[in-house]
Amino acid sequence: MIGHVLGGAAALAASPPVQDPGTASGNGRTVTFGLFVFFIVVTLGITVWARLNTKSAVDYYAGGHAFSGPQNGIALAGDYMSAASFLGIAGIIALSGYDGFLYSIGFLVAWLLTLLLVELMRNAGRFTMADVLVYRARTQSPVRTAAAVSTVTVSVFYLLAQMVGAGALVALLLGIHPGETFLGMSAEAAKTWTIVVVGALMIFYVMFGGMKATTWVQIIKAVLLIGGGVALTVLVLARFGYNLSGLLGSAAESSGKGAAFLEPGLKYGKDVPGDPYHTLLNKIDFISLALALVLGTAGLPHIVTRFYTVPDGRAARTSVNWAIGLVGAFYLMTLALGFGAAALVGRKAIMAQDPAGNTAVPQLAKALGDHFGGPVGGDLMLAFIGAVAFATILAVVSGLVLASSTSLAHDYFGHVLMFGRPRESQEVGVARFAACLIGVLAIVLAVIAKNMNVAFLVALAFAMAAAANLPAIVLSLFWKRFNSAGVVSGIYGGLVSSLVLVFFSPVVSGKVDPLTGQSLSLFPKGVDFHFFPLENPGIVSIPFGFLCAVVGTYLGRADADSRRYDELSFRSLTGAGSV
Amino acid sequence: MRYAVMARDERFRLLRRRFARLALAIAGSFLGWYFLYVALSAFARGLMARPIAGNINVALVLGVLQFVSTFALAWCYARYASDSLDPVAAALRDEADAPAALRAAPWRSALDPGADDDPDLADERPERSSRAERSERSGRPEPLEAGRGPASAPVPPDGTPESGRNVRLSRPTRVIEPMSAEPLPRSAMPRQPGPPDGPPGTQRDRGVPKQVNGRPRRPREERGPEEQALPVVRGRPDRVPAPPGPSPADGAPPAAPAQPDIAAGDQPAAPEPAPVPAAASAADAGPGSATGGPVHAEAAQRPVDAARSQAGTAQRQVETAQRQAEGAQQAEPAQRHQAEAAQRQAGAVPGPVASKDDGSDAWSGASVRPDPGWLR
Repeated sequence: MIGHVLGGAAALAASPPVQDPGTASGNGRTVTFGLFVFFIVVTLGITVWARLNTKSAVDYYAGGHAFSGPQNGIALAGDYMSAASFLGIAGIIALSGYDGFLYSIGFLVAWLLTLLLVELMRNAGRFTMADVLVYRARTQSPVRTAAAVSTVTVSVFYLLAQMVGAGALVALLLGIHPGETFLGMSAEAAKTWTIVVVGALMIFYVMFGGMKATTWVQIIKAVLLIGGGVALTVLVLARFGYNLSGLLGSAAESSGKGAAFLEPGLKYGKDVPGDPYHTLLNKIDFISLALALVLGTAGLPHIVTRFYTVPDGRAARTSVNWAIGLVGAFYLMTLALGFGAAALVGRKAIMAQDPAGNTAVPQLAKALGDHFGGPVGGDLMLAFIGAVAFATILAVVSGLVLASSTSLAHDYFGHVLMFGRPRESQEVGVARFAACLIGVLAIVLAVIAKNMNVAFLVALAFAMAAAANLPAIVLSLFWKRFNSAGVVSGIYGGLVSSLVLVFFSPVVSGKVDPLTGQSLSLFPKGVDFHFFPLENPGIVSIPFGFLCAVVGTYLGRADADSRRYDELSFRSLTGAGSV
Repeated sequence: MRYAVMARDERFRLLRRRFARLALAIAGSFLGWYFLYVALSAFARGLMARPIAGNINVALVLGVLQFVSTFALAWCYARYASDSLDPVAAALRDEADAPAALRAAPWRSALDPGADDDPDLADERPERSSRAERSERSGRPEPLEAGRGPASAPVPPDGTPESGRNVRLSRPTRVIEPMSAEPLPRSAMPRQPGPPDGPPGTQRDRGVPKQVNGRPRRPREERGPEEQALPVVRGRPDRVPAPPGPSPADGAPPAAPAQPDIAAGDQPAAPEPAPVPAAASAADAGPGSATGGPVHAEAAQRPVDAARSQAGTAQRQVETAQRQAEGAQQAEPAQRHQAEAAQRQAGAVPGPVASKDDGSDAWSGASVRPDPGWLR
């Protein structure tokens, strides 16, 4: 799973230092660090500018609806492509071949569902998903509360995985091995400091800059990411004479697995010879993951909030189209990057530095730089890719914190805690405070979990979004009979089922690496209370979420005001009266 | 509320049907194809392993096809939406949002009842400041052009017989399919005016048919200056009230200011009842419009008062309109039947306004009567 690769990097701290050709030399480390600082300074400048331009709730929550379709599309792509995609997918491809590609396909195809829903949501809502869900509700409080709980839960889980991964990643990018120091910090300390610094930066961006700052940071990051990806892809292809087949063959050879490297089945849906039960379980697990990926994107809170930064539904549609183009192009590039890393860096070197494969792309960058430009080139490429990864992390975590704070302030504070609606300028103050709160919570949890294998959290976040948010959104928009009881039961049913199932799954307890005997789960080796056999709860919790929504509708009071439904239907499809 | 009532409009149903078909087609195809791919990857590994060209195997090709299909479906959606969904949606949206003069704040933004009162949200209100809205904000009617009176017309106060009978549901009265070849139900055809009931000079506020007096209506560019200078609400084409139905002779003057060409018996110009469709419905009173010239003078005077009274009575009119809408629902089919009977009598069988024939959009020739029911 995608977060798996980031979380796996955390395990590296415990391993002894190994000779690896991919780390930065002293000079390279300085350049990398310098680029980090440069990027931070630029984004701080953007935040200050955004602060001066953020005057009202609309500015804070939705950037004043002032972003054009293409700009928002680039920001959407930037918000979506986390470091996990950039490094993680390429890492899975580098280590396990084709299966990483399966992952990226799921990530991309999900955007078509988003495209179908984006105009409706933009037309019918204002800042958050809950604005759409409460349209027909007789009383807003229960629905707003449920939506806020769901948003914060999904965002915090995603955030945790990103921040823990960030800590490990930066330590690796700076090439700090156990026993070495960088600026007087050991690897452990560097990890903690990274988490704290990343957390502080994201709090600053969101508190002071709001949506405007985060959008521009994401646009810049997306440009850097695509640029870096294109540069690396061209170099990789050039290295193999623009012969894709040659690249694939070389990768298959280096992997030691031959043709199986280019086929599905090395990581997901593994065939266990002689054990049809576990084979079937693996395949169902894989299908469950695919389901969660394809249905989850449309319900991710930080994606939904970004629908509202454009003036109208049509611009929202344009922005999703741009996002599809960029995300698709990028994931095609990761194919080349992953196989290139497998061919040029080699499985052993990658695993030596990070068992989960996160550093495959930086190592590839160094190898390509060395090949084309000597050691200096290698260090420069490594520094550049490292800075891109750092920018990626910062952009995504800011987006997540913004979405959570928006929901807490607008949905929970604005509609539940305050009986009479506060003036929206008061809401913004609360939103800033909520951003600080969530940021601090994320920092604390990430520091506690910094050595744990929290990789599963991203896939879990997708499964929760698909199980809790998607049924509520789809049924609200399209089902006449749906009512607020349905929304509440759907959201809580999806959330709770996902959490419970994953708690009793092998990712939390009971999964043991057959080779090393180490626990691959969250809990250490002795603890095992799992009974749910799948690692991703999607295939059970998503239908369950829909079922809860439907059952809740029929059990609840029929407050389905058909006039409100007609109104919602009219407004969402035509854009009349949209703000 | 007008959105809920407009949701019963045939055009909206068309939009909804189209969107549903599009969404189901795209969702069905991409989900089906994606899960087929997942199933093949999980269970048909032999097939996936087959090489195609060198080291490129079926698995890779299918994976890249997923990307291609995603781009293709996104492009298809964008194209279909902009061709077939956006025009319909824009028409409905303009019709729903344009008449702001009569709308008091509370029900304008259904999402946020207090939004319009909140100065924080002042910058959020859609900047579609039509003339009607500007007049609302400034508190007095804005002149259409220099020298012309305001376009708002008096609305019959509650309780008068006319106010009840003025209300129509937004049944389909015109075609809005400039680019689509899809046949619309007959009910979506524009209603053509019935026979003139009086001297030509009194045909003031009839629908403007494609054929008038046996001649095709002149395109907008060729019309005389008096026709050109008709008030047009931003974004809305020339609207004309529907042909005379069995609506009452309420005597309320039409919304338009003086129309010099009417007396000439020329093609009736299209009055612009933009903010006050209620008045427009009054205008389609066949016998009522026989009042002709003298009414214009009053018309210039009354809207000023009407605009002020409207703001006061707007709230009451909402409830009234809703009740009337229900009542009108039953009355409407009967009216339509009568209108069609009148058409048959007149022998005028206009062709559908389906294509842009003269550079103006398809709406300018159609006889359109905005529904007053949801505008009170």
